[in-house]
Amino acid sequence: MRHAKIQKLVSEYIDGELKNNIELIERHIKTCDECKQLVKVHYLVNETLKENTIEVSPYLSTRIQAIFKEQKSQQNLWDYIIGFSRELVIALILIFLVLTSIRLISKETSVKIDEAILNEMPSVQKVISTGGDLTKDDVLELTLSNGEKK
Amino acid sequence: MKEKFETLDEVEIIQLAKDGDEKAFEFIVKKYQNRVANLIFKIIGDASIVEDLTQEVFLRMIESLKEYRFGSALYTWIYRITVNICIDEIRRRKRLRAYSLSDVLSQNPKAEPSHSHVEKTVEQREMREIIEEAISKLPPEYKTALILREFEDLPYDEIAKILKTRIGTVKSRIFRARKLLAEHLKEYKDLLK
Ligand SMILES: [Zn+2]
Repeated sequence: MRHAKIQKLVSEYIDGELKNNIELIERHIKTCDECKQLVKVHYLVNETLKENTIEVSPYLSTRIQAIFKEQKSQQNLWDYIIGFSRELVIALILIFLVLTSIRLISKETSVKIDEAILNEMPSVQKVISTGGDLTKDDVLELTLSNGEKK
Repeated sequence: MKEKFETLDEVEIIQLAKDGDEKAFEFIVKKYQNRVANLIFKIIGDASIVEDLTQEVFLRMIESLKEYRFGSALYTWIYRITVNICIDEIRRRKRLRAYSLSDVLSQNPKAEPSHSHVEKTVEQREMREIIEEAISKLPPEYKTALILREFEDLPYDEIAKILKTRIGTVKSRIFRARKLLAEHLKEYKDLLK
């Protein structure tokens, strides 16, 4: 196998992920400068990364805990507000429905009353039946009949 | 309190945290905070922002605790959140840098006279700085895979789970990261001997 194909396997070999061809890779590394460099890079990176580590301040977990608690209480408040508004909306819808139905019923009644009044008045019936096209005689007759009603 | 959680296994502790148990959450934070902080430090390379980002990791963890499925180990899941936050931060920094010309110039190694020598004898402290700088220049995807391998000593399949990618991709990202580093470190002849 040539270097171009082997170098990928060298990286796997370094990481202990290679299952086959281990001896072949080891032999190649000994004779190939570029693959030697890959191994060297691995050692350098590994050493460098592990050399310089940090530790968080002891207050960090307290700070995170405080934010967690605050978020939790805010969440509870929101849950309460959302729950409350949901109930409020349902109540408003119910009130609206009741009011609308009351209005419809009363409107129907008033229409019926209006019709009843109109039917009682011959003058109006006459106007309706002629389509508003009244002769002088009609007007006179209507005036008289209305007077009679009164 | 410490003893109570030490006798419980991870699944039970997560379940308690899911149910809103503050002590269980605190236990998880204390157990993982330094590992998370160091992973952030290695990926971002800036100690000043580590605690803020560590805090963000755990707050995002609470937010998504409901979505946590017990199939993967807790650290895999926490590391995934950490890596995502780091990549967001790297992108944010890139955007900021794009707007600041002076910043771009100071980031350019050619503008610094100390980097103009081709061959160098490298002392211990300088060597670390050179390697850290070379790592910082890697594309974020290569860098995170390499750090999870070299710093966390994780096997390829675990890295694949954290990065939500295939093992083959992890393999080639780590290989390419090493090739790029070797390329970059060539100018320091003593280093790769
Ligand atoms: Zn080779």
